[in-house]
Amino acid sequence: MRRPAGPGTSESERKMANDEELTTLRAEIDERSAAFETSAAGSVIAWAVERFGSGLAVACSFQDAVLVDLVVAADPGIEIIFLDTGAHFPETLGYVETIRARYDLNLTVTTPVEGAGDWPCGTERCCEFRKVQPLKQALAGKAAWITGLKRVDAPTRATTPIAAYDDAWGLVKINPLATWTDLDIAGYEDDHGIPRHPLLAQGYLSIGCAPTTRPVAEGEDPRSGRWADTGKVECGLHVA
Amino acid sequence: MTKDKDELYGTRMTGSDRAMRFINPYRTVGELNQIEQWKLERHPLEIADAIIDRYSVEGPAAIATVPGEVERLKWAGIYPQKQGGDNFMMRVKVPGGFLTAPQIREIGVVADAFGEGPDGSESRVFGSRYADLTTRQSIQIHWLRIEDIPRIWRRFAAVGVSTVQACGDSARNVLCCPVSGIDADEAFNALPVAQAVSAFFGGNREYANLPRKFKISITGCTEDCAQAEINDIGLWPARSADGELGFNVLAGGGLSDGERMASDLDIFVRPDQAVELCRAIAQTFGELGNRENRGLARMRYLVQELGPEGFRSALADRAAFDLVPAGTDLTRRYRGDHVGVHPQKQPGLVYVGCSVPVGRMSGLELVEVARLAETYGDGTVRLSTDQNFTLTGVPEDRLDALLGEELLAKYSPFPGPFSRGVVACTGSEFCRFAIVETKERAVKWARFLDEQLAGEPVGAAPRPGERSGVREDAGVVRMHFSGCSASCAQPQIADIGFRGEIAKVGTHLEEAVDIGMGGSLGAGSGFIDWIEHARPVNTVPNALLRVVRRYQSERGETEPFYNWARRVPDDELRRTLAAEGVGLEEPVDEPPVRLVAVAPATKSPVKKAAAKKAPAKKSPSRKAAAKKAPAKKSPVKKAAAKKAPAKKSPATKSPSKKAAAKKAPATRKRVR
Repeated sequence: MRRPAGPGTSESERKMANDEELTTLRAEIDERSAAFETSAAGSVIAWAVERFGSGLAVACSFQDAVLVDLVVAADPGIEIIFLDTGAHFPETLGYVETIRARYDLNLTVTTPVEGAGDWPCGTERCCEFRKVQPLKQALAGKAAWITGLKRVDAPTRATTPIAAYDDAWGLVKINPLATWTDLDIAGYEDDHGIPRHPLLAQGYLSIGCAPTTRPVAEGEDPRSGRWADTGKVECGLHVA
Repeated sequence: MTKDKDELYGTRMTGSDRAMRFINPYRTVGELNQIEQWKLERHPLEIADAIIDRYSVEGPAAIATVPGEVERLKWAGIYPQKQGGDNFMMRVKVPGGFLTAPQIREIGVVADAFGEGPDGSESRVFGSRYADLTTRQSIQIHWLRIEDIPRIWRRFAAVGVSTVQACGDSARNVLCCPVSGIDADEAFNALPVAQAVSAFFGGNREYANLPRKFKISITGCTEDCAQAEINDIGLWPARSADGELGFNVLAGGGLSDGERMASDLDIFVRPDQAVELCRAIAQTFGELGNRENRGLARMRYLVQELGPEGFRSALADRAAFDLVPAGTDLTRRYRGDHVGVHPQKQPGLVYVGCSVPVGRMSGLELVEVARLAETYGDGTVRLSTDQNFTLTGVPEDRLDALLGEELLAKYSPFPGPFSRGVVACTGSEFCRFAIVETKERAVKWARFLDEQLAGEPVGAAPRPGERSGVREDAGVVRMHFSGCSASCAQPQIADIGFRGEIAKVGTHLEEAVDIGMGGSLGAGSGFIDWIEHARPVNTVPNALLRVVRRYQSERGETEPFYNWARRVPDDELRRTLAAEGVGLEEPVDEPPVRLVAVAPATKSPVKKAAAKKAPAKKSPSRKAAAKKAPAKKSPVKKAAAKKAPAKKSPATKSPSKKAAAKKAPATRKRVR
């Protein structure tokens, strides 16, 4: 029987109680994730809204608005976080405003931590100060977050689960679009009349900060335009 | 190469294209050593363009395809690390140790952003992405990739920081007192002079091909903190016969594996003549110095060969002004550090010297130093030869707030006497020459001694943590740890010096150190005596504890460690190091650091070399040093006195003996 963690219990007892809770949570999420492999994204999101309520937020890169369209359908007031790195393309910022107005979003826009401008573009610490730390602050107190990760994005994402407890962040991470392809995204956009990011037509198939993103040629790996000519593939938000 | 591009990268060359006159009439190309020939094939400063245009694009393998190119990297301030491949060290020049906040921030950012080693390279003591403050007031950054170098140069150039000629056979970083302009007791502020000399040599094509490295120290302070006696040129303050303030000139000092105190040239130099004087000495060295044998190429061998009078006369032939006698030297004593809180000459302001054991800080911490300098001080940071930093221009009423900052808890102005005095070279972690690991070990030893002796006054210094406004550093015990005999950590001028060695213990070779004691600069200058040879590293902490306990019980009230060590016979010091269980509760030694097993019958050169040196040498140099009267003599007499210990010490050989030693097949430092 589990003892309540409270005054009078030792540090180690509290830790043990936490560990037990975590094990239970992990088992629940893993089971769900496996079951969700063949579920529609909408039903995954509906479950997450139900399960985590106001402890849930959505991190969106605004490369497209499919995830926004899906989550708002489940919960119109859901908190959506956009990481303003201070180095986005003007087109990206314009697109965020278009989408925000269209859905009347409950949008949180983060800003880089102080001094981020001293670090060279494209280095790990630059991403940490412009994206990772601001997102950590924005997610403080939350229990779970929804992302738009897709397995086709990059080899580092090929095994992305639908949902999992993320130790690095201490949060449940839900990826309802994990099984989607780029064609699925395009099809959904067409079906629902969702505006597209203006740079997509210019060959930008994966969009990050302006100084470190370039368009890719047809047939090229869509994500190869990110931190091109360096070994970098992830910014640090999605490192398992 | 367009001028604009060079400005962008901070690699612009200055000076005349003409070569020095050392080929004709002095010698022919065929007599020059290999490195000299490479330097003539292509000017080493041209490496900067090659890195920008070619190697950063093609990668490190391309460097190896060009003969002499690895050597030329040094002129750009770059060394390959021991690990090889795409792993480079970059040395940033900091003339006089003077940095603005934006400069130190940028250096910190570069270390943090580009200086991450491969997985598994993190240090348990220091973490990763760090930078090292050096004994030449410079900063070294490790684990850089060649492709990032041009980008790093662009960032450095934007804040006025250069790496050109931080290494190589040319004028290295110019030293100066780190509290120039704010020290209440200085004769005058010599920082502008040091900066002018640095600017003259930096990127100067004509003077960038000297026979060997060329170290200049310039100070107007009276405490010798720029270590004039162990530099190729030392300008320290003097008052001319007319009462004018300027410098006297010392020349030919140095440590490495043939230490020599500089000779007094007895020349008065006005501050506005200093650039010309240094130029003329560089010309003398460049034309007459040894370019055949790298082991005899440092300027101290030329000064030794010509004698101070001969060198002075060769210099007189080349200097653009008449050489006049120096008058009176103003140096009072040797000050080994600026740790602590000290009043400035400007009323109401203090400077705060922070202790960085062995000089290693993370890039992020350097960025934090910049913030502290801007928030509390005058926006500048000074680096010193003891691998520490100083924040200056702090208003007295801001002092408590500054002392409350987290960073100063780690890099304390009030450290224990051993942490305060500890200095270490790069060591075997990155250096191709080092025999043992130095930095982590030195920090551990210093912490061990501080912990063991916590609360006890070791010398005359305040207890750890005690605040004192005084500049007294008599209680500090300076331990300098060099990984080999090249002396980058300056063991010869330390209270206790270590030199990396290999010991054979039973059937194994183990990491070990030679231990010496009794070194100091200034009025009582003298090098250490090497007391014990090849003590396995795991037994060193307790051996040191025994010696320090004895110092505590025998020292005079304000007697520094080096002085005590000089008056106790070497044999006794050796016995104290070795005596186990002398009635004290001693912590248990750590396990030995084994290198390789040695089969008993093999005659490996390693074993032979290690065995050969078994008995520790007894050196008479301590007596010679002790005999030296502290009172100032006339410059000429002083010059003679300065030379005395060098002649008597077996560690310092005359050039001819030295040459013989170099030719001997099995040298100790190449063990391994």
